[in-house]
Amino acid sequence: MNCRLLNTIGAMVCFLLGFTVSAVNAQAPTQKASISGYLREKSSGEMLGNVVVAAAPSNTRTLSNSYGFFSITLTKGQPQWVYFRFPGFYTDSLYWSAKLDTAVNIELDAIQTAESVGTVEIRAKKTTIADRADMSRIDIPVQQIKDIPALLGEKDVMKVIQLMPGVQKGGEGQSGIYVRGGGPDQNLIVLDEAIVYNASHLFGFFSLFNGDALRSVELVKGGFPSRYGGRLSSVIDMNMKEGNNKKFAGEVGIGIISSRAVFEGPIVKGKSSFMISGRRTYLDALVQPLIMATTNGANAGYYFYDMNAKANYILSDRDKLYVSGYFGRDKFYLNDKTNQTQFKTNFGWGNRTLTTRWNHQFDAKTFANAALIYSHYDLSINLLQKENDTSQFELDYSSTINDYGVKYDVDYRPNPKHLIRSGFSVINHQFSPSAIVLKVGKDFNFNRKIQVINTYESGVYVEDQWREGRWNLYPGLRVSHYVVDQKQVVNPEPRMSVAYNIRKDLALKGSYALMNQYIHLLSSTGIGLPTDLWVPATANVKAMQSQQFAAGVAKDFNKGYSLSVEGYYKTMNNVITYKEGASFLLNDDFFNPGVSVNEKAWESQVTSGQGWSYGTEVFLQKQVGKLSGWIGYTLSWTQLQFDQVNQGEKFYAKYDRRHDASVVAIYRLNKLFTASATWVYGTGNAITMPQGYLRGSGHYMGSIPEVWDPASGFFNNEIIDYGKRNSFRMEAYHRLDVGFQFRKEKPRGIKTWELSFYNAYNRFNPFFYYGQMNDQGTVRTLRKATLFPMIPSLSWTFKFR
Amino acid sequence: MMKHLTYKSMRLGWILIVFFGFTGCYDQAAEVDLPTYNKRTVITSYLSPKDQNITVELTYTLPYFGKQVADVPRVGDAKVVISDMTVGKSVQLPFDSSIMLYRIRAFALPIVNDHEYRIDVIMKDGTTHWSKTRIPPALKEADLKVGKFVVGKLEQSNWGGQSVSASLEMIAGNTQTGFYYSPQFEMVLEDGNGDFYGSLLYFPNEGIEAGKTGDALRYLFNDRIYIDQFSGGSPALDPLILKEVVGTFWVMDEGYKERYVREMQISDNPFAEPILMYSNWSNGAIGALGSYDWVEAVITP
Repeated sequence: MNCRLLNTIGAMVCFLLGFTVSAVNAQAPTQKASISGYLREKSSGEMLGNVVVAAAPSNTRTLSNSYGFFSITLTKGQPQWVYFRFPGFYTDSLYWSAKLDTAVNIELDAIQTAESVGTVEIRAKKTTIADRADMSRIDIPVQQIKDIPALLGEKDVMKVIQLMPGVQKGGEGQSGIYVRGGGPDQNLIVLDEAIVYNASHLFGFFSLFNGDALRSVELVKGGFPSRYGGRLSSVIDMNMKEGNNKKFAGEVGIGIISSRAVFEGPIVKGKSSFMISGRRTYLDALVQPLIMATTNGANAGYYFYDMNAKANYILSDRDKLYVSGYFGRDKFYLNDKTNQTQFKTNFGWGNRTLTTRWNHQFDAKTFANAALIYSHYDLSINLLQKENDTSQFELDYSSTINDYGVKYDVDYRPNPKHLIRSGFSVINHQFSPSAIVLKVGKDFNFNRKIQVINTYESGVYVEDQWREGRWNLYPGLRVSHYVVDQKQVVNPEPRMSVAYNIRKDLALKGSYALMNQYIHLLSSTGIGLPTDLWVPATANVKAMQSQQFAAGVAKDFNKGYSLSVEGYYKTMNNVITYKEGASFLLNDDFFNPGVSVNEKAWESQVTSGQGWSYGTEVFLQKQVGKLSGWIGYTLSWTQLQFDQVNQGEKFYAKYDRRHDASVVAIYRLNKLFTASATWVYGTGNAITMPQGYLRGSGHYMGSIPEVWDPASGFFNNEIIDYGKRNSFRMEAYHRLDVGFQFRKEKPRGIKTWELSFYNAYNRFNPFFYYGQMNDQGTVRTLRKATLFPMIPSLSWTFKFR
Repeated sequence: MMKHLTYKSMRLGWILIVFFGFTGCYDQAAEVDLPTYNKRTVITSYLSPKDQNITVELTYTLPYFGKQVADVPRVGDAKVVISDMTVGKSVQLPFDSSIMLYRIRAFALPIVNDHEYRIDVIMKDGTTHWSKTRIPPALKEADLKVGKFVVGKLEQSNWGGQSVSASLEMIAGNTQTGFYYSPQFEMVLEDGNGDFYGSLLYFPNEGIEAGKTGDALRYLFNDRIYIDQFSGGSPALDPLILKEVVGTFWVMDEGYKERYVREMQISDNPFAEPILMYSNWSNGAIGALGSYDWVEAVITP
């Protein structure tokens, strides 16, 4: 890397940070006192982020950060009542004389926890959306994820995110998401600071993330804070639970296709704790008899498993250490052996992450976090065919990404008006797009170990949450830096969010964000299979860039209702796709590995273009009371244009969705019973369907060279005319899911039975379409294949204490 | 290798279908309006110095869904004119109702390498379509050479026959940017008994490479060759030696290549993004005006 350039960037950030801090300090009184500390959940000792900390009569407010740290600085000698409010928890308060800097640790008591089943509603005051400067940001209610009915009873955070306005699901059963017109590769999915590349199990039907292991999930669709970078369309920031540092606890669940368990407890009481969770499907065992019957005894199956683990240690009042990791894998296997032949296939993909973090509180105003991050994603395919115990054909294909990163963030709260954040991150991405080992017969071996492509992606940022009267300002600047092929680019990324409170419960908001993305996902299918290749931006294939403008209004109502309406307009440049007719299987040079086929052969197969997305989102939410949930609606348009696709004309993206609606309702009738329902509706996907066809005459066969395919005589084939790209609309998608939870308190814990019905009214939503000719060959009809009818499921969970 | 991959992918696909079948996949008549059918004019013509005729086919597309007809709708009342733009000569192609094509003998307007040709089609309603093509440069037998090659040892197949692994590199020189090249060839192998065996090798898709002026193209082939034996004949005997490569070396313009590649890739795979039909005709007509040439080659390694 160019050290001079990095020095320049560093100096720039120091200047920005120094200038900002100087400016805000210049306005501040000289005699100040601070109250700071950490907020935890009383029963488990878990840190609580986004807790509202308000002081009266000074009428100052702040939020705790994701590590539970808060700080308020005020003029000395003006006593305050300091309140701590968080949805689902009793509000706590303390009297502060404001004479000295004060450190406190606050534990909030949950109103409704699984242990106190008797409580029937959430009554606490919630964080008001009108009072927040940021927009296009949603805190996914982790507790509610467990109440929302899901396919086969598998609780899935990504499926819940799909229920938010502005977020579209890919297809039936898939957990891939499309945010404000962006592709699935444009979402930065972060688990404890580590990037997760493929967030799905079972070809996208389930997400990687075990809801039992998560403490918080945040979705950002626009107005991105400067601390985030590297993706165009969204950030999904997830944090694992830290583990109960007061007592040992756990939960075991048994479902139709999988079982799961989570255990947590103190390592050194009050000082250190751990959390470990795991899931494993047993679908392979269930379908094995069917597969054996249909394949003459083949041993085949599929399973996935994942494991989350986290431990933390309080080094001192000001220092805390965290180590967390994720390990998960999907595997499909087939072993078909007869007397003389054997056909064996293994197809798998998996993610691994490891994050080590060190929190340090410099003083009452300054909090820092340093992190070392490792992330890994790999895909591997192994095919083996043997005849007479002689190896006839063997193929190993693998594609790998390894990330090594370092990150440092500082929160500085000079006075109640400002929260300044600054930091940097550097990631070394190591791509191995496709390595092949091939053995044919006894004599032929081919071993292509693709060279690792090293890229360096770094960013430095500074941002300020600035509250001034009725104004909430959130200016920020990120400077991203990218190195590949001995070349580098530097891109400034300005960000701005503004909110103006017309009244205390009514605010107008606006935001602008410029984002760069230095990684692409090459998808040959459009449905996001794990075989899709992650490739870096290169000197020839530029980084993607987006600009997004958003404006909206946020209103809080009585009884816990809140409403936000947002409009957005987003442009995307340098998005890539395969050229029409391109092949993602590269020509292999068996004699000169690395000569004619290099690690960037894919570059010649892709074309770049532009995208546009605009729309309006409505989000009505109720977080408190017996009845909670939300209604989301999105009206949107998304178009793409590539010079070498669709004859250069604009076309609607596959997941362009004119109308998208979701209704989520959770009703807690009493301490024993909870009923929930979700209903989703979406305009059908835009796809390309045959419109007409032509037949060749056959007269050409005498003169057209037979090299092409004499067996089929393809010029006599029926050649399909698809018309324009994505000019056909699938049927609208809609579905109702309902669930019922029955709890019973036992001496050693709480038992929960859950009965749920996925697709309760048995809607036959299309998975794909195809044409079918009648037996006489005179009429062809359009038919659809549906994947999931109404599916009931039953699960049992025991949470012990 | 591609054949093997395709075969195994199919088996893998079937297993996946069985797997997903367990969760339930239901087939229903679609409850949605059929895709809009727009009748489109299709014009197809391929020019080659090796052809004795110049031929143009003029037809329409048929609706993919709904009632199907057996006959191909021919257009016989249009005016079709071909022009050699290099020498400035034009001739009109008459409609031959016996073969339902517009055709004229090539001596009326010789098709010459490196010349540019234009075809104009004037429909009865006055709509006009035109397209142009440049005939590829002529190939020489020496333009194609054998590079490296490996012939393995004979192996017994489980059905009693014999097979051998073979890898072959072909090198094409004297290619030109703007044209596409592809060899079709037969490896002639001689065994220890002095018997000859042959295997037709060609590239179904990936073997079409874009020409590079001043640079050589390399084609790589690897597959298992199954030895056919006459009834009562003796088995083949190691070592097998590559005696010669006999085949044809093809060159084509972009129109021919694009039409070919796309037709190979248009399929009913519900997950794949369909390939739109190629067209280099003006004014909304689809189809291709392409050109090609070839040379026969016998190459001794």
